[in-house]
Amino acid sequence: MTFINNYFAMIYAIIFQSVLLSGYFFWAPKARNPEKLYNCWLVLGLRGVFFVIGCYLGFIFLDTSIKILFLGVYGYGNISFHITSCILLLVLGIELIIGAVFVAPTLKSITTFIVMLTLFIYYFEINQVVVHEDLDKIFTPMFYAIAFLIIITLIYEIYRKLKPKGFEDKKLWNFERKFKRIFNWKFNLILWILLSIEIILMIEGYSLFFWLSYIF
Amino acid sequence: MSIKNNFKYIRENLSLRTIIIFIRNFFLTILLLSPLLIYLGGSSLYEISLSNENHPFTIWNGKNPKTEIIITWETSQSESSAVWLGKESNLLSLVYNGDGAGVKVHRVELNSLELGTKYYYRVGVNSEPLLFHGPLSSFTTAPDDENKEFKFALYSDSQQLFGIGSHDRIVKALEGYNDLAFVGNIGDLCQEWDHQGDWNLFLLESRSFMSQTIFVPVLGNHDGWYGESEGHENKYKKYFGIATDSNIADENHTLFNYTFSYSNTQFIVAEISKEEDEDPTKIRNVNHDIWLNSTLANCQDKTFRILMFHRQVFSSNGMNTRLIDRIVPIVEKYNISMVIYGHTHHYERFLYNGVTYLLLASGGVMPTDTGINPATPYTKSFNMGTSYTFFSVSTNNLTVKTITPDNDIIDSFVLKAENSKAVLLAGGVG
Repeated sequence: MTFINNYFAMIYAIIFQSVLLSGYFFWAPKARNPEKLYNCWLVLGLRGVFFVIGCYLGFIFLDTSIKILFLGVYGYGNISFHITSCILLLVLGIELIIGAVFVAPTLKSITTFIVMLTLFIYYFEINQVVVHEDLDKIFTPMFYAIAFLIIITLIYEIYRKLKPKGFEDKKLWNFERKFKRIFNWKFNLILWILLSIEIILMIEGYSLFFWLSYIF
Repeated sequence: MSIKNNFKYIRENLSLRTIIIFIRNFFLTILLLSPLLIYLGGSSLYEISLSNENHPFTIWNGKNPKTEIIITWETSQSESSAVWLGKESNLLSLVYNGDGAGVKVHRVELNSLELGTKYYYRVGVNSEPLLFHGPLSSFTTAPDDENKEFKFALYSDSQQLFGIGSHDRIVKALEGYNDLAFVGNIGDLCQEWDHQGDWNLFLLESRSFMSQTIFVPVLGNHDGWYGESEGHENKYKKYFGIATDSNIADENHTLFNYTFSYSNTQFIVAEISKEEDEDPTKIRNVNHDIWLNSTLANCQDKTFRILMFHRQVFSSNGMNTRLIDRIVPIVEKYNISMVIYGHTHHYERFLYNGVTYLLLASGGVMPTDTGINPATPYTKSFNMGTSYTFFSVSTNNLTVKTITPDNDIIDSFVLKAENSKAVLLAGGVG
């Protein structure tokens, strides 16, 4: 049972959330507006890679929080110290996976998701090689998934050229507007503030909920 | 679109305004990371700004805990050294008066102390008027009684990268104990072996317990002996000195290993800190193990034998097979009661061939064990987050509790002395 410790997961989370917010506010203003969608192939390509990274980090965050909160890998002696980071990671993990894959999936995105999930399970649960000597392997499944996405996109484009009669990778469903309303910039800004406070408190040996130790 | 057309497209669309917006967005993105950057920068600046005025602390470093002590302190200017000592806090007398040669790091060895006695002391300059450095401090010599109960606390890896970490929380928790025989740090006291700011921060944060009890340091890889050169002074050596009879030019012998006896327990502080210290064929390590074997052979009459060094043996963050091959046969041959180490940044307890191994590396460092697999066959308890470990030794029992600064018990267990061995009597995860 290999996992990324919640300190490092929190550092990945705050960096990714900062990049996500900068996208909302500065780089991709259409992301704030449920009515607007990007059509430029370069933006869509970068967005695809960003989604793969987000989805992979979502796996890491969910994996870490579930193993600490529900499987008790740390025991529960000082759970009041870990509970805040785990809840924040759980929320962000759910947002990232839903946002990256399940809001408006296509057959291509679902296939990439399944491949990435398989690689993640192989590296973290079956092979379990992600330890101190193999830190570089933490993101190996993610790079494989990006490579897979590029390959499947190329195959799809070639196939589309060969079968021009109305073939397209249709969206299986589309909850994009609803998703953007729930996980809007205010939600993500609050999450970013909480993540920033919690990671600094954790490094200093505190937590937003450390006072639970004195109650229970 | 051809490459030529691509460039044409970029030329047409890349206006000065676009470049300015790009640069603006880039800096605004960096600004979003500013809470962390300000935190890191502020902590680093605070660490650098600390002065070299370090309060006195006491160590044994191989001396006899019953009758001897070493008092060390540091002043920002060269001064002569003086120590006032007494059994009553208001009745101190001058016991050491330097010959006037000024030094900044003052190290005074006191001998012929009474056994099991609490002493108060002050340090400074024997001038008119008297000049004192630091507060009234105290230490207690080891008892003569081989069955006297005693308590001590250990933690490891307090290193504060860029001055950040939770070492101060552990120190604050240790302030609550007024009856500890000593407090030990199992290595990596600081992040950089030659960075004065790191050591000033460590000594500043540790003042409160160091003024009440004796400090037992263990060399870690970050404190390690990497030689010295202009501008790169080894601070571990500077503050704690060399514990063995070797000199620094001797590459075939270790410098910082020592042993001491307290009541019914023998403590052995080995020098296994760096990666090269794992190699059993290295002459330096062969010589070290000759010392280790003879030291252990001489303390078989003790109820408990506790071996401490920095580098990890068993760990969920990576098993150290070379060290397992080197150390475990010695541990089992000499019935070591418990092996205590640090290095991989978490708390973990192992039971291997009936011997308890304790990994205590949650002493304030940011946990850098990114990928963890807490499922070794020998793991009995595992945790992350700041913690220290409290030991209570009685005639036949060794009670151990690992506690967070918020007083949450992470792990506790009891070892019972039986036929020269320490048997795990009870143990549970908190």
